[in-house]
Amino acid sequence: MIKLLLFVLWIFIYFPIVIRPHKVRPFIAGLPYNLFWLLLFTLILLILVVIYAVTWNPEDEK
Amino acid sequence: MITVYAIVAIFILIGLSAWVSSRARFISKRSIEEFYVAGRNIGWIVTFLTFSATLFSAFTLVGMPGFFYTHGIGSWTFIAVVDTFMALMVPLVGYRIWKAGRKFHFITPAQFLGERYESYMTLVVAVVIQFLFLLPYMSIQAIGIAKLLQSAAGIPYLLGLVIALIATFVYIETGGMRAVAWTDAILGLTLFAGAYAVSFWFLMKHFGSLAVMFEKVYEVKKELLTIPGPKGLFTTPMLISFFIMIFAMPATQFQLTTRYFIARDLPTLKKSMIGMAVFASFVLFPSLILGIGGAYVWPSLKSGDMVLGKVLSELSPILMIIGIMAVFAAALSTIDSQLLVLSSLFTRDIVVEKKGELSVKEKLAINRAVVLILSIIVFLISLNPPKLIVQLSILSFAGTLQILPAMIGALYWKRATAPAAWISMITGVVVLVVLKFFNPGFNLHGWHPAIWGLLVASLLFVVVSLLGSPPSGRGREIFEEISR
Repeated sequence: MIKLLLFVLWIFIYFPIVIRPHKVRPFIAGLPYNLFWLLLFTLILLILVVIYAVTWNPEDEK
Repeated sequence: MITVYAIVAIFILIGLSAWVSSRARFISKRSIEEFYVAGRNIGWIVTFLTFSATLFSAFTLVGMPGFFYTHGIGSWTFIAVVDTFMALMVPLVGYRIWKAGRKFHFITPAQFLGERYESYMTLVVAVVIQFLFLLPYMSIQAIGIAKLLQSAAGIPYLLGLVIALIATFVYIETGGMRAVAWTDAILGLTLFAGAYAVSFWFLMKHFGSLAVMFEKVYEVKKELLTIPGPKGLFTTPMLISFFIMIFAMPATQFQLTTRYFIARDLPTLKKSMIGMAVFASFVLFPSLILGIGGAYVWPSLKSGDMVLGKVLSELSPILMIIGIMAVFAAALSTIDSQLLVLSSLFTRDIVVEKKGELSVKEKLAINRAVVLILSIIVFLISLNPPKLIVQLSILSFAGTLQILPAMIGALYWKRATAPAAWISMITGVVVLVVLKFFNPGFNLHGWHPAIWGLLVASLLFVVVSLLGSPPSGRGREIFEEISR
């Protein structure tokens, strides 16, 4: 389920929000608009991967 | 004087790593399983550091600032986001490979494929593809080190090459995988710390803060702060192409796949997965600073790859040596893993498969000869270095990507057959090479040729598998065990 969630997040957050606007401003926390989203997305992705790793137990799934 | 300092610093780094790896000297030669996969008994910190150090090569500090310099912030998606996501290859692929290795004592991923498909042909094709695409990749690393040592520290190109290759030989000979893994741990930390030290200094000297850097870049080159970038490289098809090529690497580049064999147990795999994701999320930020900031400070460089050299030339001697050590560490930790895996593929999968049982001593002697010969080949390739380091490196991911259908089929699909595996691998590589170098006018619609190769390989893999009958002996037993 979490794998699916990550996949959906990848498609729906990463491509439309980050890539489509082609915005440079406004600067957020000193970062350009697109880079702010990219870094935020990386952070969210990292948190999800960590949550997945902590809860993942393949031997219980069987 | 800086040349002398640099040589001393590099020898200190090599010496420190060799001292750490020498702990493996006595145990690693007890058995071939000890030598090639460290007795499958490595803890999580060393597992994730050796994986990360192997993954992040000289490209991280030489090629990536160049990408940011030329193509802007879209480069972050192409590598940092994908590398963080790559940690998910542990549950997707790594766990099953780790389980198969533990149960059936596989030493190399090619051996796993060969026995899973009950086919020597599949094994040989996988080994040939690895050699074909990893040797240029290794040469790129060696060239990267030698060029940097030459431009930044005045060390002659040939001497730089020889230092790198001898250091690699020493690590492998000291204690095989165990020595290489521990060495990688030291080199990975050196890369991480060195990259941050150099980029932080650069940021403070030229800008004072991140916000000022982006404001200044906005004034002179705002296209760098947009996607798809000044040259329009990062379109959605190209980003997805890069995503697939890079995300698949742990399943298709065997120097990474082998790292799944060495984990001690399941908790080790889980913790190392977190380590891999954290390392990947943070290690590329220095390259972003150097590349984007470099575009403002030196706006008219011939190639973006020159940014790091420019930065290094401005540093104080101590910081310059730290920077050189970071690049040296990044390249060396990739070369040693590639050299070890290629020597294991040749020794175990070609020589031992053909000659039958040999003593541990004989196998290690063959391995030593293979490592020496490969080092000489890399040396010879590096004597006439290609211009576009990054392109060759990317072709390496593209070539090994064609193994993906056979690997996924081996792990997840009961009906997968041997002819489907080797036919798909060969066809994928042929399609890639034709489209890349001899494209007869086929419209790629913005996708990388590797993706077309993968598409054809996947279709063939499914169709040929459905037409034949799957393995019924040991191959089936392996599949049932890893699916359990």
